[in-house]
Amino acid sequence: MTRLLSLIVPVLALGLALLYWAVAVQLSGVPRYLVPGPLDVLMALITDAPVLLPALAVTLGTTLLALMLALIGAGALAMVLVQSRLLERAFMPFAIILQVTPVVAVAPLLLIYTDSRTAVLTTAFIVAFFPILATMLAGLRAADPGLRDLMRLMGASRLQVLITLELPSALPFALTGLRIGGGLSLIAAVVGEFAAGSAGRDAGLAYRLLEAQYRLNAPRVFAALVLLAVAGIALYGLTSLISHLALTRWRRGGSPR
Amino acid sequence: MVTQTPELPFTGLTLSGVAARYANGTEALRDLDLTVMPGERLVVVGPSGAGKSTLLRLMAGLMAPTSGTIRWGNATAPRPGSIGVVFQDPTLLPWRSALGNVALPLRVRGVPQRAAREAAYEGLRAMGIADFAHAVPAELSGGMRMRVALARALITGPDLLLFDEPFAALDEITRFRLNDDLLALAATARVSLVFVTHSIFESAYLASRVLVLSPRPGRIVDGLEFPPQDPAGPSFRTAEAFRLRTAAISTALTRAMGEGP
Repeated sequence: MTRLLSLIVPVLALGLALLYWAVAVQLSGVPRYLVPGPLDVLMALITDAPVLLPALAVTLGTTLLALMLALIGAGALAMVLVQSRLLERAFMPFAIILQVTPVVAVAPLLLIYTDSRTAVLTTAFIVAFFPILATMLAGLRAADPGLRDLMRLMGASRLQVLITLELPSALPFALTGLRIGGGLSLIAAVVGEFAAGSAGRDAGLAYRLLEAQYRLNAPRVFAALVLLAVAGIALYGLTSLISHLALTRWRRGGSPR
Repeated sequence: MVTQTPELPFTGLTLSGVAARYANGTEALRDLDLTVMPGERLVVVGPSGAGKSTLLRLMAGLMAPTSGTIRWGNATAPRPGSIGVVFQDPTLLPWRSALGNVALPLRVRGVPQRAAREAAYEGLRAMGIADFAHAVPAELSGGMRMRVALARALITGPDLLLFDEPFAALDEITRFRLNDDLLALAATARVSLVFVTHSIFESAYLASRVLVLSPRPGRIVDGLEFPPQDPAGPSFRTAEAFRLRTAAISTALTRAMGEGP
């Protein structure tokens, strides 16, 4: 009963909000081309699908590729940095600068050097890179000190400690990094597309959104926004699914969550 | 890979004039002279902060003494696999089965997967938990986890087993059972035990020798030698000899508390 209710309530709340939106637009008399109602947005989604869906594929593709590259790159760098305190110290200033700078601002710079597609990809990559690196570093260090001692007594090599102990210990951390990085790289891809403004076959969803705004096509702007939200949900769902699958073994034994 | 020194029979572990001071200035141990003889069961008792855990870390070769020397047999460093350690926490890899955890020390030495797992299975059987070989630590009770940790410590055939209050977190019935198993094991495996505990009863039951440490910095202030249990086994717990032992240890411990730095 409470289970059913906890499922119905959020759906109901969303439905009410949509209803309020529709009625408010209707009653206020604001022109449809300025503030469309939910049905207009739905219509725009359907009629503009040939334009918007390929754009969605481009943006999602860029985001996922950037995320994958960031995971590989940051994971590898973390494994190198964790080998030596000195190396890590040397890397610190870069990490701090890149952490506190809104890195998406590099997009215009990248556009000077590369084509727009590469620039957007690189922006999304850089933005996802650091949270993943930070969580991976924390994860590699989170290994139980008692287990480190035991492995030392066994005469384990540095590589054996990394593979047997540190990498598995870092897994939950890496997955958290992936979830954070996923959300951020989507944002970065959107900002990158705004800055790049590339038209044609490579046009992403954010570019289509900007284009629709120039043309005062508000329903299409809304439709693009809805699709961006869908992209975000899909990304979150994907990273959560990966986490769930990867951590099944950890949760076996049913320790309460 | 690790280059192995030829295996010599274990001739004991010797600490001479050993002191340990941490980087923050804390003096944990002072002027320690001690030999752990082959086959003996040495129990170390002392107040909290007397440096008992530090002593075990020194014996394991996990930290170097600030001054003094430690010799493992004739060597200046322990041979990999010659020392087994069991901490208060079982410290198992949570993502590996009991079998995988016990096989780990062999896998690290390059023993093939199959042989390592077979040996690990035998180890688990000896501990009476072969039925749980494929369970991960989260699926095991505290006592079972401790048995897995014991099997892992034993699998390389160590000369010396070090215990840092291993059973402190367990209930008394489980602890009694593990104490009995440990004695049986020490009798058959020809291994020296060094056992740190807070429990006077545990020390009276396990020890062939008890060392009493003073409050920090820890020094040896008393040593008590005990003959074999009579009668041997669980019934020793209710014997008059056992009561006398606990009284002797208790008195020594009380005296040690008075020995300030």
